[in-house]
Amino acid sequence: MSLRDKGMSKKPARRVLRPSAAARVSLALVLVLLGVHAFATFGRVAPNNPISAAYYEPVSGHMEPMFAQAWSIFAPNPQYVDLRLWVRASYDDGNGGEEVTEWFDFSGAFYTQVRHRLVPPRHWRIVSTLYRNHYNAWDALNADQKSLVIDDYRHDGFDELQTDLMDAGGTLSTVEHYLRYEQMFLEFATNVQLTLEPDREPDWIQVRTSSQEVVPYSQRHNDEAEPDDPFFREKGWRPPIYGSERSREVFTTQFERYLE
Amino acid sequence: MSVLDAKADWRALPGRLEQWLLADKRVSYGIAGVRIGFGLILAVSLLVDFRHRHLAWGAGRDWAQVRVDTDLWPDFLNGLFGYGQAPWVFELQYLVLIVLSVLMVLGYRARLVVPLVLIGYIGLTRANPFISDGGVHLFRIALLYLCFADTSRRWSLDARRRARRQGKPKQPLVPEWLPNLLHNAAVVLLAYQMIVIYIASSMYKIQGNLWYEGVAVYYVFQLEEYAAWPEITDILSPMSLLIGILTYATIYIQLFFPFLLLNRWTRRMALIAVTGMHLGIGLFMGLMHFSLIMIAIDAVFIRESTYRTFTRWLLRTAAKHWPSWMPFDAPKSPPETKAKPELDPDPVRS
Repeated sequence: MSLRDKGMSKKPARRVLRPSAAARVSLALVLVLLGVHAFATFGRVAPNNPISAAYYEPVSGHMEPMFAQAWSIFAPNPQYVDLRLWVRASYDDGNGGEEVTEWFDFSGAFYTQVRHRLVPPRHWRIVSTLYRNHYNAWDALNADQKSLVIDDYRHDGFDELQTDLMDAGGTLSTVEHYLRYEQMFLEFATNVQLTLEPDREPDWIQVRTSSQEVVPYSQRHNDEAEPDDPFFREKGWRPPIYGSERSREVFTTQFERYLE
Repeated sequence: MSVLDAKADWRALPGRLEQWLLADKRVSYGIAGVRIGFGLILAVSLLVDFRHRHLAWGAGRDWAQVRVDTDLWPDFLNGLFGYGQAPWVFELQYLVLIVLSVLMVLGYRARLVVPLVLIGYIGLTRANPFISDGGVHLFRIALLYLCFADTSRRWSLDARRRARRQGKPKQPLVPEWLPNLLHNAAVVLLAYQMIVIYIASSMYKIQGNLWYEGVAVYYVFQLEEYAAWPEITDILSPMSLLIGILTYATIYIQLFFPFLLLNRWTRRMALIAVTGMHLGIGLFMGLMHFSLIMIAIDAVFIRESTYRTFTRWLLRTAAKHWPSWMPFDAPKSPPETKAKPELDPDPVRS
């Protein structure tokens, strides 16, 4: 093995190497690994195709979690609806009755974090990602299961809802996946409600999502044009989900600032 | 040295490829640019997030722990920005990651610092998957590739230390071609990753009618979620010609990017265009983190000679205007004959 300079020209010296057998074997090995990884990467991120379908399992095994990626943002079409998450709560009114609060849109407080900032903080994305992930989990349910989640489940815990969802068909993994996202949504919403009313704890929580189409391109010159009414998807009443004391304290302290 | 040279004998291509991969570390300035860019992006984003850190990454994100519990990362990462850990541990980890990102910018002990930044970054971003996006994924992947590269050969404290040690070289532990091979493989992977992103993104877009009809950018401008500067995008939105140009340019720049790299002049055009596109996305859609990562990695597509010219110009300008700030002498003209070791240290070159 030797390296030698090919004289000093105006450009920096170009070096020539006489590779040893070990170098060539290593080079061949690296090229094979590069080729396999390159194939897996493209197979993973390209639109659905027969090649990626045929090698889905090994490619996923190689790519997850370190090389996980997806590049279909704003495609095939960009999103044309505004996404929002809402919460309302039910309290004991002290006379044996129920006091229900107005719906509160808590996504707006996060979206405003991106306004007028050259480098915005990144937590503003939380609510839209929660919306999309929750929607995908809900969309995997069948029609009977979707109608069940609209019903009220005023019980401690989620066992009854899970049992009913399982009885309505579908797979355990689909139901568990959905319940995970519903519970994350509820815990987030409970934190929001505790920020809005820090002096009392709700008995029940209800959440909903809304999507609202923006003014279409054809109406771009019409200053009077307004977006269509939002489309709501409600869930039934559920028990609030409380995190640890510190978690609630941190969330409410921070979220309160966004409401100022 | 380019593997693909128009005047090259194609039968000599395997030999040229072998030389390109083994004889030296290629794209050393570009890789240093990626290191500095990544360090800056991470430091700035950690500082920008500092006020929101507890809600974004700390105890305030405990509601998302079920996703952490069910992800595919190894358990040893649970200690990083982990669920239920003491507040001072979280604060310490956050501060250490800021310090590491600054050390990455400076190129101090980069062989150690870059892998530590990777582990810290995975720990941080894993803590709240709801903040994750393409930028987070790309940052992770590129950082892993950078672990195999010599990121501090240029523009770094490591390079200055090596240059000062040049009189007493250390006996290398491995044959010289091995780190060269790993470094160059990392360069290839970074370049390939970018090409895949541009091609895949455009393949998805050309399936959509809003892109096909040249109006997609209008809809992006309307979304509350990405309305970083709504006063400006509201003015731009009714401009049909501009919307059409931006929409089609986005698709075609991405689709043709790898082919535009093959020629020196089209490469310059392509790099200027994608940088403009990313700055536009970053500024008007609030996706600056992602955009800056893309711009930083695109640094590997700039020729070494361009970086050398830029470095010499920068140092001459700095020496002229701020001579007392210069840690070393500015290069003299004509500079091409031999780079000064203090400025362009290359401990590998004999």
